[in-house]
Amino acid sequence: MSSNDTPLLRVDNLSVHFSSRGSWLLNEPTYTYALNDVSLEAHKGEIVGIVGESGCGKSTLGRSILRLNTPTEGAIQFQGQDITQLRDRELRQIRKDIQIVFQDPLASLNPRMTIRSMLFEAMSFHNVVAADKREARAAWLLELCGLNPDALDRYPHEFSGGQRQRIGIARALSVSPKLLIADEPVSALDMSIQAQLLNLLYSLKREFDLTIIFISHDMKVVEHFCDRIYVMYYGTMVEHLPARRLKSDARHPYTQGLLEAIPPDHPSERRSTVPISGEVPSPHQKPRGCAFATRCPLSVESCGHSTPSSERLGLDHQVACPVVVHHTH
Amino acid sequence: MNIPNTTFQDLRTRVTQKFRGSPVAIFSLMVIVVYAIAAVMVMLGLVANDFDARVGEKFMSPNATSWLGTDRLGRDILSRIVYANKIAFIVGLVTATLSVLLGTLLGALSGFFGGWVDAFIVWLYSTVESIPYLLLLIAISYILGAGLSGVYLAFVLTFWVGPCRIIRGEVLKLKEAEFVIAARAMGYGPMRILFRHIVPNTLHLALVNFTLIFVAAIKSEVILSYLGLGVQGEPSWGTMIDQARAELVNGFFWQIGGATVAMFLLVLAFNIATDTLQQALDPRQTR
Amino acid sequence: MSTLSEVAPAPILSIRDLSIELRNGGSKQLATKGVGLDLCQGEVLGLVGESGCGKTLTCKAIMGLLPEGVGRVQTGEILFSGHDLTRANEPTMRTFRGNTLSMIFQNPLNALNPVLTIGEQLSEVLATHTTLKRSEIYQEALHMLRRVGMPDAARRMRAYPHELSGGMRQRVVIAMALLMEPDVILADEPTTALDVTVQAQILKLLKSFQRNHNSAILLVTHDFGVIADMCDRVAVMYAGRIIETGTVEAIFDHPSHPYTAKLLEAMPRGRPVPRGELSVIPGRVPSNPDDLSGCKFAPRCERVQKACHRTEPRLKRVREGSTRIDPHLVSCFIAFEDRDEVTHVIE
Repeated sequence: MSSNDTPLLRVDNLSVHFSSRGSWLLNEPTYTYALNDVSLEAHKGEIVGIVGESGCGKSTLGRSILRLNTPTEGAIQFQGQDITQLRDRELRQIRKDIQIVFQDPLASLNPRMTIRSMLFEAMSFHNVVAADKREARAAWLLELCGLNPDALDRYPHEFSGGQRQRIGIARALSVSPKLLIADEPVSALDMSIQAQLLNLLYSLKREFDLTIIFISHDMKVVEHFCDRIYVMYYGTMVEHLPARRLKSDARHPYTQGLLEAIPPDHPSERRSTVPISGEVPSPHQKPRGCAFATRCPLSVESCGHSTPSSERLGLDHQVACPVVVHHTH
Repeated sequence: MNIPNTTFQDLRTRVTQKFRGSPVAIFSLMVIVVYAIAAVMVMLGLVANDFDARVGEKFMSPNATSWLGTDRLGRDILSRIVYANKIAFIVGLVTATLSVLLGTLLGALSGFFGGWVDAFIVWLYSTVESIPYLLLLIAISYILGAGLSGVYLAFVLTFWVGPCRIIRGEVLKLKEAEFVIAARAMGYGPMRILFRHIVPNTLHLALVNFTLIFVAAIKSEVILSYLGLGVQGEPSWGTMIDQARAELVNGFFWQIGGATVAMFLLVLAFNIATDTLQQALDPRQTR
Repeated sequence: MSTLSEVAPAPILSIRDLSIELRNGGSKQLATKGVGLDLCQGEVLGLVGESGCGKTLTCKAIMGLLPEGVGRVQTGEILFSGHDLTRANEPTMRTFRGNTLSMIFQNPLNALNPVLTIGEQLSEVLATHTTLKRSEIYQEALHMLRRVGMPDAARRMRAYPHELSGGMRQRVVIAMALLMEPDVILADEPTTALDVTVQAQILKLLKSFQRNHNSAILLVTHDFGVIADMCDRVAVMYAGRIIETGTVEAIFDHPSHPYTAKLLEAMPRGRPVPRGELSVIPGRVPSNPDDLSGCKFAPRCERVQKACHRTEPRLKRVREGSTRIDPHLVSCFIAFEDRDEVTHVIE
């Protein structure tokens, strides 16, 4: 699985808190605790999945890796280099090596630019190939992504959702990145198109030897597509384990709840109970103790006071839940 | 967020469709075109350049040679009105172009960079806006003296506020759009993102502002001339109306009537066309 | 064109041969053709298909909410409560909407008025359809908000939609749809925009309401998992046509239309599929299905035969999965192994 000792990407104890100024008059800022003490690793050639529901911070994490925001605490290392505090100008090379594909294929493409303009701009900005070779490369990229090269002269709104997503992927790949962040790349698409895109992403990964961080709320897709999975809840990592052992070895009560909440595959598998009730707490309050304590079937008193740390449960398996790790009931 | 997912081609189709659907709008457009052609013809020296020629007796009523009669110096009123059309068009064009350019630039910088740049520009346009624009126009023209360049400067300094505020608002919205984040993720710098990615998505608003300022300039020129601060030496609708005031007392209304009607028609046509344009460009109208 | 035999109870909502026409600029298109559905009291009927297949339009047609000047019912009837809804006038439709016939929309944020509080929006439903006093209305609304599982309901009555999470908003939308205890509920992708844990809660809520009031639900979705969880019977739609109907077991155990079979293949169901080899339906949904002769799925079908391009197949009964009350119907020539049937249909 991992070929090098140094992971391509390493995130250590990352916290990202946003503050937005309240109304001009009152001037009380509201804070959003998007990420709290999050750590992850991705080795070259891996597909690492980040799964969680809305508000868990997975998109923020994806953007943090790209340094589209500034971390409040913690460190991000890419190819051994600390990129946590670099400024925009210094990040220019990083922005070639780490690329992103967004969830909403329509919103992430400039409506007023042709496909050619988009691809050329990226290639020329990062000096990917000589100017006279760009046309050929653009056409080649589009074909690789399953599109007809005559798409070059057209505008985003002339394409279907699935096609636009392929364009987004082509754009990301045009600068030959090493790491690709896929932020819910198939969530906005019909199921049969999802399958096409996932197959495409996998073949591109092999062709370009990419490392992929795959962010999704869909457990089934993540289980199918990724090598390792990180489960997030309310800004924290609650569990991390290899994908093939997800169903058998998941221990964190939230992970188990997520798995049980997935609709059945057959009418005979209907369940009568609802696995997790209640609501996610507001991200505007500073988290106290375990984020999941209020909804957790296994919670004890100490859960509300002390923030659980991620502990090893087995090979490549970590859980942030003292109750599960130490069997304290 | 909802970004108008349109291109220039797409906008063109919508605009043509909207116009085709409204006979009034088409008529307005025709009126504007006629006026524009007339203005060009005047500029090329093809018509009405003899606006100073004495063609007949003073205060003649409309007759075979002078379709709208003559003024107090015996000059053909119709020729003067047509000539004044050229002035109106030029004033409108120059004012609208410069105002939109200046306003868009300041609005884009303001909305995108925020901070003290934004604070300063917002303060600036709030201040300018709070002064009744007539007083502002008068004050500036007075300082600069009467004459065309004074008029331009006064107008641009007054009218840049409209586009500035609107473009600023739009840029604020677009700043958070996903394709802008995508551009940042590609490593592009702020200037490139602002002018190559964001501003082109605001041009539909700039266009509407352009036509609005065009009309406002024409109307304001009339008012300035009425106050003696406007164009000198050449007839403009404003000076004609100003001069014709006294004639009304004597029952002679052809000059003031002609100039007023000419202006009114153009302004009305522009208003209708702008309304239709605005409806066509409204992103909420997308299917 | 699905039919129920005489043994079954009479359907509470019956759609017959519905064709909806859409005007797109200058051109007209049939967004749905010959759609037939029967919804019986107390049952959950799933209407499944991918985006653009016409399922939302069908719901809007039932509610009489097709976009003015853009969509209209070309032929067909929708029978409900002794009326043909396609011919009913606005005042009549208004007595049904929100009252005996209600709709849950897909995106709760869009379905709620951003400038009115939750309490005001709930109360409005009651104020329109009942003659209760204001205090009574408030109590009813609050009671319903609690029943749909809204935490801290009393406080939330005064909240605005943007102050609530997606799950809470959807609860409000459902509360509004259920306030008058309708006989028929049209649920258009009610959980698509929600997290999976919230989806589980919402579906349970719908199911319990449906059981308690014996209402009928037309559940529109693209997710077969939701179908498996909730539905008694299923209708599969493709390119504006119903191509297969049957009980939920019939559809899952004996999917007879190649499209249905392919869609179900997309669900892993325990056997892990190697990466890069997910089952895919090649091609795309036709943008102008009427311009295509024969079966609309034929261009993408693995089992296509020449006959498929010539004539459009009609819904016929399949033996596997059919019960006396609920026949399993498929519109596909290939579905029938009996060669005689195939040649017979072609002629």
